[in-house]
Amino acid sequence: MAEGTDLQAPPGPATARLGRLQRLPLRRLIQIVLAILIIGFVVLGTYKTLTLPPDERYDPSTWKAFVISGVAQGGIYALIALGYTLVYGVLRMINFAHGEVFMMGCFASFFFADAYANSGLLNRHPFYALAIIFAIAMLTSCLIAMLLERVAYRPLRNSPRLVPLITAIGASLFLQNTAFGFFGPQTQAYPVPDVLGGDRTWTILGITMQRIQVVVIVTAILAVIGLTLFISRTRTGRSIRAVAEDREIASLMGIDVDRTIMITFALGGLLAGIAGVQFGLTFGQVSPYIGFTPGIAAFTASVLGGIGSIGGAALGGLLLGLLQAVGPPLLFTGFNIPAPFQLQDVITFSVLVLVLIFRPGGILGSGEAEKV
Amino acid sequence: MIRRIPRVVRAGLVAGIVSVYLCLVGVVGSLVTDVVGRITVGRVVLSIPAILAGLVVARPRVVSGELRRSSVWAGVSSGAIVGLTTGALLAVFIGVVNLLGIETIRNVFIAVKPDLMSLLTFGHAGVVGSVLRIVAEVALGAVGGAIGATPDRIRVPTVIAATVVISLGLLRRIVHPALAQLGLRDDWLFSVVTLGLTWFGAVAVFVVAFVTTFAWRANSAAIVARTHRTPATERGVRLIVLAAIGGGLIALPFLVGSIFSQILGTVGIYVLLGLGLNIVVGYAGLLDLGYVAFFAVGAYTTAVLTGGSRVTTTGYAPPSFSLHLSFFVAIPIVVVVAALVGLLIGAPVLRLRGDYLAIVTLGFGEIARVLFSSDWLKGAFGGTQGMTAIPAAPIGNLNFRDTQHFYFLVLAFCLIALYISWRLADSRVGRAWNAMREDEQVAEAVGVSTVRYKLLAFAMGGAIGSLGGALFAVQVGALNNASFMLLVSITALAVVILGGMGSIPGVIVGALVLIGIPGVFSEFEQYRLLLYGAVLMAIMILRPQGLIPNIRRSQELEEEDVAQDKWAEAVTSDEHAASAASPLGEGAG
Amino acid sequence: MRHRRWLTPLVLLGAFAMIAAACSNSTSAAGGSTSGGAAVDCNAAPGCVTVAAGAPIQIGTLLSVSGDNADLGNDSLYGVELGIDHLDGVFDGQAGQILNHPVQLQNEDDTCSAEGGQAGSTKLASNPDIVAVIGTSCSGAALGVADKTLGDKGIVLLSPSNTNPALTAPGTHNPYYFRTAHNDAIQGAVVADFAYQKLHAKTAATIHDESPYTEGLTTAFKNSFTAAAIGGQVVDEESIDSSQQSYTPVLTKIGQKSPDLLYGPDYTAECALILKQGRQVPGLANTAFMGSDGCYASNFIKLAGSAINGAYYSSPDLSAFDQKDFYTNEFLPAYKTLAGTAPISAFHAHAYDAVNLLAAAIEKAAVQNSDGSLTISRVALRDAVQSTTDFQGIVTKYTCSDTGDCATTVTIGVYQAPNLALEGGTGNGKPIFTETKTLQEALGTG
Repeated sequence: MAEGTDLQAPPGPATARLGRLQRLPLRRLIQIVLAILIIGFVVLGTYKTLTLPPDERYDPSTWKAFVISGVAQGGIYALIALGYTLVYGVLRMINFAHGEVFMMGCFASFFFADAYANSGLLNRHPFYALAIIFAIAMLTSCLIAMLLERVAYRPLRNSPRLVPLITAIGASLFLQNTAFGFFGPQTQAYPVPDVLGGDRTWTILGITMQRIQVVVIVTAILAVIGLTLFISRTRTGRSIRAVAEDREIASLMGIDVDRTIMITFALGGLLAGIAGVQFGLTFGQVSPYIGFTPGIAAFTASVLGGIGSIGGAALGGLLLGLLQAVGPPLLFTGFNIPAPFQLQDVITFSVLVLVLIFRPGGILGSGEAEKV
Repeated sequence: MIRRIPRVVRAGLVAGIVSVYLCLVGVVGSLVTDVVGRITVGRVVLSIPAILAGLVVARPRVVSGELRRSSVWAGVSSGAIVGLTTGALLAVFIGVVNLLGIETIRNVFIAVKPDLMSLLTFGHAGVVGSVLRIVAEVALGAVGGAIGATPDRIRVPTVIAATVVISLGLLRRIVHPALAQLGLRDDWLFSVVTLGLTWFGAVAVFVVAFVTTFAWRANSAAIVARTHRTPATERGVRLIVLAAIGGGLIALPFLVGSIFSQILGTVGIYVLLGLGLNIVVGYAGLLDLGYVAFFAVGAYTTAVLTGGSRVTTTGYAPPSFSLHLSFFVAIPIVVVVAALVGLLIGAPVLRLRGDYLAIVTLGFGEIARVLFSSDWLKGAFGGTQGMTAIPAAPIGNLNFRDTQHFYFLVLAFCLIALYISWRLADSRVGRAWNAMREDEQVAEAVGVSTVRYKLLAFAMGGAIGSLGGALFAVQVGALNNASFMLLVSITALAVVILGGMGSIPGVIVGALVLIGIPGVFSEFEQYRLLLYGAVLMAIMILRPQGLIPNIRRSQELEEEDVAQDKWAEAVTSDEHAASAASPLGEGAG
Repeated sequence: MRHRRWLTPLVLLGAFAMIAAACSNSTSAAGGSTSGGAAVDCNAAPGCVTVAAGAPIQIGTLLSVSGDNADLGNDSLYGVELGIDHLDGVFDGQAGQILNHPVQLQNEDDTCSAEGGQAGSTKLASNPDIVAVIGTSCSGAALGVADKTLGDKGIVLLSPSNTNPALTAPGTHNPYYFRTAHNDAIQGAVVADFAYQKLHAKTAATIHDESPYTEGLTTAFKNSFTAAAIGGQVVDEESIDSSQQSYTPVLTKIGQKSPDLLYGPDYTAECALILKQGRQVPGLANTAFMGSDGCYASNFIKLAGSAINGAYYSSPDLSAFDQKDFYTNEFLPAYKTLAGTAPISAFHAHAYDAVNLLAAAIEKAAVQNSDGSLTISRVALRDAVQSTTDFQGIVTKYTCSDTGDCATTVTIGVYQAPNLALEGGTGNGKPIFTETKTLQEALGTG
């Protein structure tokens, strides 16, 4: 191996120190240049947008609408991201198929919701109907998540990281197309009870939002609090933390690792099921393709916020929603870029890169580079 | 509790669940081309779970270090039990559908149609139909068990012959014109009524295939042993084989006709993509989920440089920057541009590993697609309408839009890429990548500059991928954002994974399997993605080193398992049982 | 190293491959052989097709029969099959004949993408017996792809549903390409006229979903709306991603400008979301919402809910079909028998008309030989299609222009929800505004 290395420094003890010094600045330099470029663009874009002539400028109510929309969308992302982060904490793997778990829960609940809407139950007793609908979604997502774990991930528990990741991608494709084959490609209309109809609003703290948006945000907050309490206070939560810390030692300490991991997946599935129903109620639609993009977005969100951290997932979700809604008008309008929302992915991933340069573990993640 | 259910019943349950799944997902009902006589593809697919389960159950196994074989009779009976369980599950399914009514079920599962139900019940309603189905499954399971319990020398030819028959039945569209062109009558083989094989033809093909395989297997070892293998002869044999492959490759498009040449062309493009991604993922160990970015860069750069036009509502317009270079002059520029883009993509992700790298590169892939089809860059790349009228790489009066000529262009590029990949693997760069992949920190400590080699991996991988994009632009002649979805990245990744990460022949095999087979058997086109997903999962769980493993990688992945598998294979094979040699003789390491 | 030995053969192979390519001849024939026909010159490219006595005339179809747009493709395919059925004058499930030869279809899938169009057209082009092709479903599969591949072989490509104006733009139009579907320039112009005359709109905003069909339509609308005759202003042009569902930010941005009209000729799911979310945007409170037939799906009204009330949709006026009685009393029932459902897309009748137009052209161009065989010169067939004048189809009278548009006079209707001819619609399904426009007029103003 010796002849394959750089031969710029003379051999000897000085090589090690000199070598490390040599390398560090180059990588750092590149990253700092990138960071400057991104931040520079952001600042310039923001400045230009905010100093547009008054008739082209966005007024405060428009900004408020952008922010509210972003936060509401972020709530859905947060719920899905929580599932990603739970599984990652425990297994150090990204469950790529989590988006499809969410979609399946939404679909399963759709059939019941449709039946209730047809029979009128949905509007006569909305709370009972919704309770059942949520339960069905949570159950389905839970079952599918657990099935995935048992069939696809457990055999690969000790494989190198690449293997379960690719299996997850395969599982995602498989589930998506299974739904396509079962239910057909058409977008179905998810029934919304009048209580939560699109034009019904609640005013909280002076901000008027759609009722369903309020439900989504409140649920996200409750989920974060509930999950944090669960993980820190209960016995199962402690075993989850233990398994996340070190699987071998945990099993030596008498924790049933298989069962704990199964419970983790189940938890993630529960949250995904809730997110599924909320998605259906917010947009009034369900199709086999709704899992893919929010899945990737939630994945991005959890990485952004700090994978493995519950607060990070929520923060990441919120941030992502805001970036998608506020970013394009804020950064691109000043440059007169047409159809700025087409480029929202550019913003999202540039910010992600920026965050990962300085905090490789995500915003709330560990500050150091991820260990292999 | 699950463990306590006897193995045989468990296999039957799995087969039953898979059968019901196949019905629900629509595969059984919608594949209505006839394969043999009046047996449709759907029916064939439906019978596979029971047969496979019976086969698996009756195969010789190693139990507590001892080889246990079953007699054919035992195999048949255990297969029958498997079939019984499968049939029972299907009968339950039929019962539920009849109970709730087809229309009710159809509101949820759109594939449950009267046609499907009558296929399941052989046209009889009620209990009779279910009983018939159970009987059929028992028979299928028994057949599977019989096949599984027979010795290798009969089982392998049977399976191969059956596969040949079924494939032939599906390939009528291609074989029939070829035979007609050669002036041969084929109405004994292909039925003019059903567009599948006739029973006579099927049996004849089966027998021929069986006998051929049987004879080959029985005698090949003997033939090889009889030739005196001196190094000179070895070299000679190798040259002959190589020449034969070369000649075959060159004659191929003329043998298979222009439709197949088109499919081969697409396979070739994915071989290029696979080779490039193989460098990034296989050699350097960098998980890149956004490989489509290079594909898009290659395609659009070629289009712009060779004089493609933007599409507008008033016709074609030149892009804001456009040259009319010859394709072959443009290629080096495309490669350089792609390498630069590779550096651009690699720079921000230098410190990222594994999943983080995956998501960021995925993002970059999406960004590439979005940018090329954005309204903002409409003047340069045509925006949503895309680009078209891309010249077909003319040389003199030769035009590569013709699929058979295009095949040679693709072949040439593939060979170049193959050569580059192969040389890289054994070079200093390749070794540095190995080191980086196996343990990055140790590599740094020994003085391998991960920065440099990571960037190099992205640049080289990107350059090769862009060749694929350039060829795509020439092949199709028009570009728009529908061709540059995430699916391309995932397919390229699947090609590399299926073939074996880091393995060059694996990439070729992967592309042939994942692109060639769906292209040829176009009945399965609508289930292609479903198959991709299932294949990816199966490969990762059963054989993560891929079909043609790179030895070094598989050692990383499953050192123990590979050794163990080889031993188990050796132990359960016929030759070994006959010679009763020591179990550790052939298979170790 | 032993491996080196592979190097030389490999390089030689590469060189040999290139030489082989240069020396090889194309094996796919460009056309059939000639027979003793007098007036046709079958030796000149692209040659002729000879149909032996009693042999079928082979017609290809290249439609989107799988995937998301399967409805569109299957709709057209049923229309084609009905057209062939009716060649003998009745819808009886028995295929008819052209010049005493039965008709055989070779169906290929264009998968609504350029690759699909390329693959499918290559398959068809390599069959020397194919007389003509009906397709494609999606403009992206035809533009520069199928029209070129088939045109190079002299095979007429007649589309029942391509509407992208670029396909028949002068200078880039392929001489073998024709369509019975209307040019989107017409629909865009009608929408602009409707906006100006009925809505008195002076400002408009457009939303497309990054697919060629929708973007073509918004551009056509913009061209007509901003032309001197109307003098409107398009204040915002936005785009949405069809894989996402949150359009409120985009709609809010548009709402900032409070346009009189919001034109979003997208696909069903997106149309529904634009309606539901758009109605919540304060800035769009006085904006009229408008879409096109791409929004139509059987459950569109259910998807959009009450937000759909008052929105407008443009589409070919099905009730203005020339042969309305025939359409309602004979065609529709036959369609239902064949497909099991009512037609979904607007182009089923255009596909039927395409078959008949083609059949008429074949009858005109074919030379009947004494032995009962037919010789069809490809150039003659193309000319016959091109010279179609006042051909009466279900939809309209077709007169093919120099650049391939045969539906040069089209009636587009604007409908207002909930009075739509869809499941859940109320009312008689009649348009509130119709306009018959010729392509000349549309392009003149655009």
